Amino acid sequence: MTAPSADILRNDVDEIIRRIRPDFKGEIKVTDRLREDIGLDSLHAMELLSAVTEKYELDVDIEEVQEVKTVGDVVQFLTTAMA
Amino acid sequence: MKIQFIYPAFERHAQSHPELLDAVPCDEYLGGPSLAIANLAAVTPAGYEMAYCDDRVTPFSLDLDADIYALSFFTPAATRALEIGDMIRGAGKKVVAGGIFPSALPDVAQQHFDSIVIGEGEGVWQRLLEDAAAGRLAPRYQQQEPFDLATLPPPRIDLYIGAENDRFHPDDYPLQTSRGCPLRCDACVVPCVMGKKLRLVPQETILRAVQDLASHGKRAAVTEDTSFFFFSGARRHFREFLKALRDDPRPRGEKVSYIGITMPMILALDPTILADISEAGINRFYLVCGFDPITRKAFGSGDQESLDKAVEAIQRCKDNDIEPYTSLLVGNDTDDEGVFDRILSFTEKADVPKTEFAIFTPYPGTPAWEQMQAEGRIIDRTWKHYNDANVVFRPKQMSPERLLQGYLDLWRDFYKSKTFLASLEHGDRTIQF
Repeated sequence: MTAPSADILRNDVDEIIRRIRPDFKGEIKVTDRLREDIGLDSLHAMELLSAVTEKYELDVDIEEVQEVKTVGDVVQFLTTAMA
Repeated sequence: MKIQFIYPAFERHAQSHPELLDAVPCDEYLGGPSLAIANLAAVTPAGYEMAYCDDRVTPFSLDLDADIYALSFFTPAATRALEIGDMIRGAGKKVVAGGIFPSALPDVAQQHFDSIVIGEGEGVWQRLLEDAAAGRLAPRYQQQEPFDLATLPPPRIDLYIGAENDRFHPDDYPLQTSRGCPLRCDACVVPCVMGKKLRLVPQETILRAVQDLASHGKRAAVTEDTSFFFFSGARRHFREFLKALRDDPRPRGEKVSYIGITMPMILALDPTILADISEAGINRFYLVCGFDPITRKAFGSGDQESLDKAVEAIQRCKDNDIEPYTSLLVGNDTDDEGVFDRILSFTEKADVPKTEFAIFTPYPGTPAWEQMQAEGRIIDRTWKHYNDANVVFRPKQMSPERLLQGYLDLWRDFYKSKTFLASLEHGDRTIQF
């Protein structure tokens, strides 16, 4: 699969965050930390990664996403995984 | 060469505490055995004669003659399994064992069997049989690499179904969709026995197993929730399974009896997954509580935010037309004596229709076992007591006697206002106890 642009990935990540955390109404910034700023607990963060890896048909191991902490990290991870 | 497989008996809650039969107006759920024997039978080469004994249904005796006896068992069945091993060896016959208990405590099991298999059995089974035929059984067999699930045939469920009788005829049998897990949850034995890498059973194998069950009029029980995770493409794999189930014309509730899940998972799941589960005709979650942060905080310390989340998780199931059948655990280190009242209060607030109660049990092979061993808190090594219905460790915030009494009171108190359950149809009044 050709990697979508960072903007498209960013929009997809935003959309999924709002789907799994419908009570989060604020603006989502690329620097936002998943846990502290958006309020995703560890399972919500896992769910976010489940949804994006499902959408882009990526097979990843847990070790590969240990360092994903922010919205920007998710986008960067997807960009790298699909490069 | 004849192989006699044996699934050893273990005590259920109502066998450990017969008074529950009077207090609980429900039928007992007598589930099928684990898949281990059916999987081994499936990879047994042609030419071997195979027989199966479910020791819960027909107690094993040496009248069942064979060239080699093979047991698979988890910890609750270990007392009986070790007894059977001694009986067979005492008669001068060869007996081998595998499964969760021998994998977790091989040195304990080794004393009662000619050979034990550690971890997955399929990869070493043929060599073990050849060694047995040649009279050179090794004391231990252990495959170094995880078994390639692409080569796994569907389990020989027909062996189990052949052992049913009028008293014992489960309407569901387990369905395995994956093996292994990279997480390290303190009460889970999966990484110890199946490894830390999540591996997926091929979709075709799963669907053939579902069809096998359907041909016998049986449903599939999906006991694990690692299938929902993203590791190794598990989410896509699970979604494909749900899609195939949706195309299965059987009525809602007749294809899969339940999916095992936790409250944090229900709250975190993408709503489209819950909708897909419901549309696939799955109408019950086996909702395991007491191992996750939400229920530990909610029931252990009465944390209001966690209690609200627990109620929300139940409601989310109901909103998707999925029955939340809960298993409520007591005895965590975070539980003080108020845990019993808090759990009862929660069941009222969340309008939990029926439930089961369990006592925390540090099973060998889990991080909890290692921790309690290190802390010197294991007080009972009678393995048949490791069945979630007995206190085998020293609780942190109450006495063992208080914990046991609280557990029994929960059964009585919850069900005293539920006598109407006795008038429901069998499926609606059946619980595990």
